[in-house]
Amino acid sequence: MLGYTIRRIGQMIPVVIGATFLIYALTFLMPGDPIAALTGARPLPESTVAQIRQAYHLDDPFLVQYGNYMWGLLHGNFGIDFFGRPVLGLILERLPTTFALALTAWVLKLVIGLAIGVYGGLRHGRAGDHFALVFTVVFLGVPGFVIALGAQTVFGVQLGWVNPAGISAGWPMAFILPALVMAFEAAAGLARLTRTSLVGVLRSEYMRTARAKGLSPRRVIWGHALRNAMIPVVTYLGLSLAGMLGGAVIIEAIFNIPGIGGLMVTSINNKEGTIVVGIATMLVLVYLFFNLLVDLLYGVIDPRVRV
Amino acid sequence: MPKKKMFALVAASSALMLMASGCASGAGNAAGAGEESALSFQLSEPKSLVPHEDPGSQVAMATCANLMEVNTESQELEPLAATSVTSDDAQHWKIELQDGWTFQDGAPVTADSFAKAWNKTATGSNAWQGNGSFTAFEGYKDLNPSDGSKPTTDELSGVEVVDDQHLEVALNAPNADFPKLLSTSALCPLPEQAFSDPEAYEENPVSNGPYQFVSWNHNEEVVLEKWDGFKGADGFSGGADKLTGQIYTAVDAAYTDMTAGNLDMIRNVPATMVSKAKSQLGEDSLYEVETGSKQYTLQIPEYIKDLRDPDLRKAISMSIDRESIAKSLLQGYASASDSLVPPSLDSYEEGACASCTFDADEAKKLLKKAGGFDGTLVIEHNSASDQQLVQAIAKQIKENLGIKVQLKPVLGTELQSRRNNQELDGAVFGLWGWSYKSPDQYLSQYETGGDGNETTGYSSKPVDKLVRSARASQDEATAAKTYAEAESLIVKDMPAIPLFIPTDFGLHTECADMKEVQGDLQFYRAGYGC
Repeated sequence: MLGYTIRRIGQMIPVVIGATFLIYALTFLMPGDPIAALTGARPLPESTVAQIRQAYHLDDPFLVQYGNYMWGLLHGNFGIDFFGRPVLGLILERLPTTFALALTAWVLKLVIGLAIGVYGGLRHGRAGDHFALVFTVVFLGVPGFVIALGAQTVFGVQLGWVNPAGISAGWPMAFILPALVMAFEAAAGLARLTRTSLVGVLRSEYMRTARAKGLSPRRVIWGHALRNAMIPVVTYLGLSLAGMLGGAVIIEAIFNIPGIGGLMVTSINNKEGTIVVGIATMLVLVYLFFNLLVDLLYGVIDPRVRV
Repeated sequence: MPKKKMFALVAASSALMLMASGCASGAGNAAGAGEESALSFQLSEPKSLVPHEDPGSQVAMATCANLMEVNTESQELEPLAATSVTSDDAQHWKIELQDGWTFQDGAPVTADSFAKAWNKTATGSNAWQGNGSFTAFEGYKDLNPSDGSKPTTDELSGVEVVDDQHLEVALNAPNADFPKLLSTSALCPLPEQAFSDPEAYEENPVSNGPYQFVSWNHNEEVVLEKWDGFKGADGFSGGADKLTGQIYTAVDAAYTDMTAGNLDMIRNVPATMVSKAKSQLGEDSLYEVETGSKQYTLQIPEYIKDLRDPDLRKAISMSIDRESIAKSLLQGYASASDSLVPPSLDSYEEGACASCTFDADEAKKLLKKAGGFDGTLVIEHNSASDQQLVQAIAKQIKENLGIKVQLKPVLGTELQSRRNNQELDGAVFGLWGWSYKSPDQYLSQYETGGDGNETTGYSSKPVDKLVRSARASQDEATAAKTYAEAESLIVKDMPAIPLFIPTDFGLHTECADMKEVQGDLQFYRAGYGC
């Protein structure tokens, strides 16, 4: 198991380098001048622009800029933005909020999605299964922002159960509504995956063998069927948590949650390269971490992959 | 003071429409008997709370008291932290400070507090947004050498501290608007700790204005409270004991929060939201800004050779039916513009731009006179905000003149650098606004090397002469007349086609009395009405 873990971590290094390189290159290629974004319509004097360009190495060739950046990154330095604020600070300021939202949404999704999926899988072909199917289709079909705005109006404005915008109420009240919206959207996919996987496993040969050996139905389902059916589900869950951390831009905007997604969008608009690359690098690292976690969990559930 | 911005409110996805109609909220953050009064306003995460770094910020306006201010009742410019600002030649100014003024921590406000703050802001390498406000000062060039070398000094040679209460300022050229400039946030004083420990000051600023800083919970809120020690209270009628700037990333979210009763004031309300607010929050929730300070124009760079003929430019101008666009697309929340300045300025003369009325036949005649136009009229615009408006204008030019028009949507920052570096491919659609109320703020765009002149690069010796003489005149009537004369010369060449004067709206709850907030909606001046 240890060798497997080390191998997986070793494989992450080229991925980090490749991903940051790509992101850096794309940011570099983006149209627009960061200095122009800095001051608005009244341009700074030529001399100042030159000094800023020099201070931020904006005139160096791309590879030199990238080298400087990676060198800083190796020392834990994410650089500073054009207002002199450390990028790491800007990210860390928002990361707890994003984590709170993503984790809440993820746990809710886990509960809702697995419950519907397992229920549908065990009763497949019957009325309950069809009901679950219709339920998931609705949430998969309606665009997320429609559900979000609807929920915001009903629960936030008309019923007044929670604040419709902002996080001043703190966890959990400020996060429960956006997290539920995200959870229901994502739970639909999870439920369908769980159901299909479970149905597949229940039909397999070894399930019949298990039953023929006289195992109790409970052990057959919980000990054998679910464990095997969970393999694809675990992969999906792990990666979707990483995805939720970076992908809540629209939900963040609607519910005015100051998370990473919003910062990313503003920074792209202002062409604040150091922030864009900083966030992206952070997300790559988070993504890889969860990927690793999934792979390790895999090894636990299914010993065959360790070889 | 709104910082000059060419690109209007970036309309957050208008697709995000509310589905159901919410019912109007009750009183916002109403305070019960005995409690302190509190109002909240919409804010976006500040880049900085130091006025010189972010001069347009509402927090800066509330916390800093400047040498001059605009009286809310008379709309006249009056001394605030100064007792007098005088000059014989409009170039050399003598400033006398009020006696006994202090910062909120008790330290005295002296001539040095201003001079040091100005020097730091004018130093280009600090890259503070307020830098541009100092171009008129003598010695600005030494702090911002044009060859990009390091400046040899860190002080404006034109600023001289006589004693604790007296300052003298020399400008590069006579400018009668100097007292108006002294009312903008970029010229606020700074206390000693802003220089000794700038980082700590950033997080905990102390100033001399009617409100003092309490806390900044990043991305959530900035809390201010009324400062008892404010000496300029005569002309100040702000109401609430506590002011909270609630931070929103999108105006839609702020609006929803207001419908739920959690927010008192919003500004820069997009036209699409005005109608919605009327039905959901009621007519009373809308505050219409009476002084139109902004203008939409189509500017035509001189370096686009195809578009040089004034008759062609006039033909384009006359082919646009401003009235109908203002009525339909802009839902009446804008009026047609017939001058290079908005009507609120002294130099405005009705119909100053004779070719700004819609007349398709006359437009065609002018086009013929100009020898026709075979090329393509390219119109660059901000891809994020002005899409529909520019499309409507292009459609009219196309239909009424029969020429090819091509739109070029460009990202905001990209468009700005294209304007500043004279890289535009054609005409450019944009929004302009003043930092203080003076025709100079508009007409300097057409003065060689003037503020905003990069876009068109328009240059005319007689115009330069008139604008400079108007600027030097301390008699407002003479100045206005001279500005008007300059404008009449400029419109002959039509370097810019005036289009619309947009109406600005704010939204407020019953608790926020908006009477005193002035044209740029200075939230801190709102009265408390609950």
